[in-house]
Amino acid sequence: MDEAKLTQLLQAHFGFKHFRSGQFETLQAVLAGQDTLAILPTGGGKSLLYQLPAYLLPGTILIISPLISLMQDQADRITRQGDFRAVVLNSAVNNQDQTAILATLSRYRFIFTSPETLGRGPVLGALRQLTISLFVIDEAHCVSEWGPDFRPEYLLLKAAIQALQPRSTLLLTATATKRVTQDILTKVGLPTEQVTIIRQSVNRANLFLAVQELENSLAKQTYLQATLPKLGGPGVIYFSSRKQADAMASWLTTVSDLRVAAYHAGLEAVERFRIQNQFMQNELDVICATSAFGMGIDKNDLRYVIHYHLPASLAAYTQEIGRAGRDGQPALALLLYAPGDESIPELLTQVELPSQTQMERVLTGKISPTLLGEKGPVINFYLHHGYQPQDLPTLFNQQAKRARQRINQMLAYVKNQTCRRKMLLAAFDEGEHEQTPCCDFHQPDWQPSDFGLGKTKPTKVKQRQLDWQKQLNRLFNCQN
Amino acid sequence: MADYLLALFSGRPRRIRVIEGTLQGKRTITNLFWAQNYGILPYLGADRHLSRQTYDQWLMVQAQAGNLILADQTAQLTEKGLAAQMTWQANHYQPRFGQWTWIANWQRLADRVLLAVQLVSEFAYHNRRYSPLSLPWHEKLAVRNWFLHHDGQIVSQVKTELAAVLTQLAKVDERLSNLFAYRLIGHESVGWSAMEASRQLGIQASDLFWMERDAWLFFAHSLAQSTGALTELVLPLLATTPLTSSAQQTLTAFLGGHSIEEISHARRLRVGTIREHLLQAVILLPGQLPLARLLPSQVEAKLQQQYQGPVAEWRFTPQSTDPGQEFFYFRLFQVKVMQDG
Repeated sequence: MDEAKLTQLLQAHFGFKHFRSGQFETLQAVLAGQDTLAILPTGGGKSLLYQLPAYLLPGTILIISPLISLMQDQADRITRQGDFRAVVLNSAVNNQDQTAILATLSRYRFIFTSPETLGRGPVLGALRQLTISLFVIDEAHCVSEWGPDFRPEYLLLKAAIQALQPRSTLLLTATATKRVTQDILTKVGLPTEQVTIIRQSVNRANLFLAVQELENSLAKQTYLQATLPKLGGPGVIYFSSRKQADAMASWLTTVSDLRVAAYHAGLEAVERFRIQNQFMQNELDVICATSAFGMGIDKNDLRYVIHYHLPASLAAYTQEIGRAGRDGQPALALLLYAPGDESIPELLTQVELPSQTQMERVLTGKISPTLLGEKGPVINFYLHHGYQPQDLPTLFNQQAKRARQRINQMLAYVKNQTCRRKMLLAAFDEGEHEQTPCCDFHQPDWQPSDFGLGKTKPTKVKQRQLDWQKQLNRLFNCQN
Repeated sequence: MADYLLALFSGRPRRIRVIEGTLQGKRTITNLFWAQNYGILPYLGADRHLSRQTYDQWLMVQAQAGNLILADQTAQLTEKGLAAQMTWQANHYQPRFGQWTWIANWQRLADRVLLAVQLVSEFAYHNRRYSPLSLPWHEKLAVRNWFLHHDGQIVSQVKTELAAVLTQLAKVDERLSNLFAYRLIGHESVGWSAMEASRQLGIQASDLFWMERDAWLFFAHSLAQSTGALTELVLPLLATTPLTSSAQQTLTAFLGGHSIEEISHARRLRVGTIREHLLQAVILLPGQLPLARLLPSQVEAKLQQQYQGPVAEWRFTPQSTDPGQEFFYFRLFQVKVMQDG
């Protein structure tokens, strides 16, 4: 299909006049029935790549997605648009609902699911009854990173693709080195020569990259208290734990005029809904989040992304900072570091395996995998997919080693004595991009105002005169 | 959040697992009996997600701080702990409507009402393009069917019904009515976030949960007493009795004149299970069961001789060849003495 026709569809259904770079090429490949891997930067409009084909291809579009909250958000967005029906199948859907959904699966054009749910017999069985026009793997880097993420079910996608025989497969990610790209394709069973690879630079030219080394947590807190008001907003601060996100949100509320909320997977669905919507409507200045935040929120005007803790990898970091400045306007990616910060992600790489005897007893069904502790399900998965108990220590050690390498790479970014952008791009096999402003190596005395941040002053929180009757009248459009 | 736990202890030893089980909503006879004894039944199921780790950690911290003495699976407040409890009670919201905790899982009921109010509110503004609250499929379906079943009058109906409940609630504590109304979701309003609610009402974040629970329990209780569109919406979520449905069936059969053995036979349940059902009814529905039918007077007289002093200190010592039945009598007698005060 030619670009003019596709652009017409883009404008009619999505309201955009032009494709972002990489979008048209990806769509062209997908519509031609080619298996495609699109590596487009965060904010590059990846969901459009499987939404638009629905207007041109018959059949079901199946999307494999890693996060439950992300799936629901994407499905809601499609439903809200009004042209197609979308449904979510994952562990949050109870058995009764799942049975009802499976019985009516053909009514939905978009089906969102997780690798774990897809691996279940009834789900795959029901999907086999449908014509899958497009098999989408969102956040496809998870296929390669399945080890550290402990999502071994990603390995089953190869078999699922073979079983469902989709017209074509579309793999989407924001970050993948050449090695990771090859690894993804091998693991999903697609021969490299048959796959169209669309690769855009991971560079986000409008982001200023900076690291602030501080003495300890207290110093980080003080620094945030002083810095956040200068940044304007809206922005996101990432934490590695829910507890700390909550604590910081409460603290910032008491020590500043900023409108702050915590956001993480531990929130009840209603609270998450409220915070997402308030943030979208600029009723909040700062979100203190864990990595659960962001993937489903399409907010273009984030002016900063701050990391309070050290992310586990440069890939994760690049993904998360990519949520800032999607509107192309200047934005800040700031990482706070205190000595010893690496111990948190390092701790997560350590896995204590149960004894060989215990694993053998699980393998022979004598004891339940739940008795193997937190990692029981993962160990059980390996044991039932061709691994012997004696293979697992080596496998887990290799994974831990790779995870530590990734942390070291992240530390190298913190301690980097050259251009941060250059280092970040090199990690993704990309060459230099010279630009101004760039990072704190070139501009060590940077100020938020240097790149236009802080122009929007946070709105002061108003204490309302409370009147529940008036609130009811307003909700129900009544005069009295 | 866990600091509210101070309110559940006293200067006398209390069984730590009973308090944990009560909060988690575990309705074993042991939990129910002791929870009634401690006066904490209104907390039944109040913190269903409370984990063993969080709870035990809290106990340890309190013990280290000198507030609690832990011994033999029990805990009691020290003088310092009692003072801390008083300070806590003076500075925090105290739950009022916990006695209705059995009427509904208030969080599930709240989710359903929030979605229904959102639909009605958007309908009142003739808006069809909005993002509905994301709830499980069957909840969405229940609300959708309810909505389709009503005509255009639904807006005024829902508003009037909500106003009626909130008027009554405001008489108890106007903050609860404000909290309820401003947390509702509707046209161009997603309601206060938890943090905003704390700020607007000038309360601590930890109090919000208890205030919200009270507001929704009051709401559930009011709907259970009335008829109307909102009652129709939540009726399947409302319990008519504090008993489990199986225990209720046993109670009905017993009140219908059947013996424990007959019920056991007819329902194909163990005699022990039927006894547990009846004990549940005796504890949760005081005065509704003719105790004389369950506890023969000569057995009661014997127990009176055997067990004296404070009920909480009695230790069951089986003397017959049927300890199951003997324990049933013992527990019945214990409940009777406790309820008689």
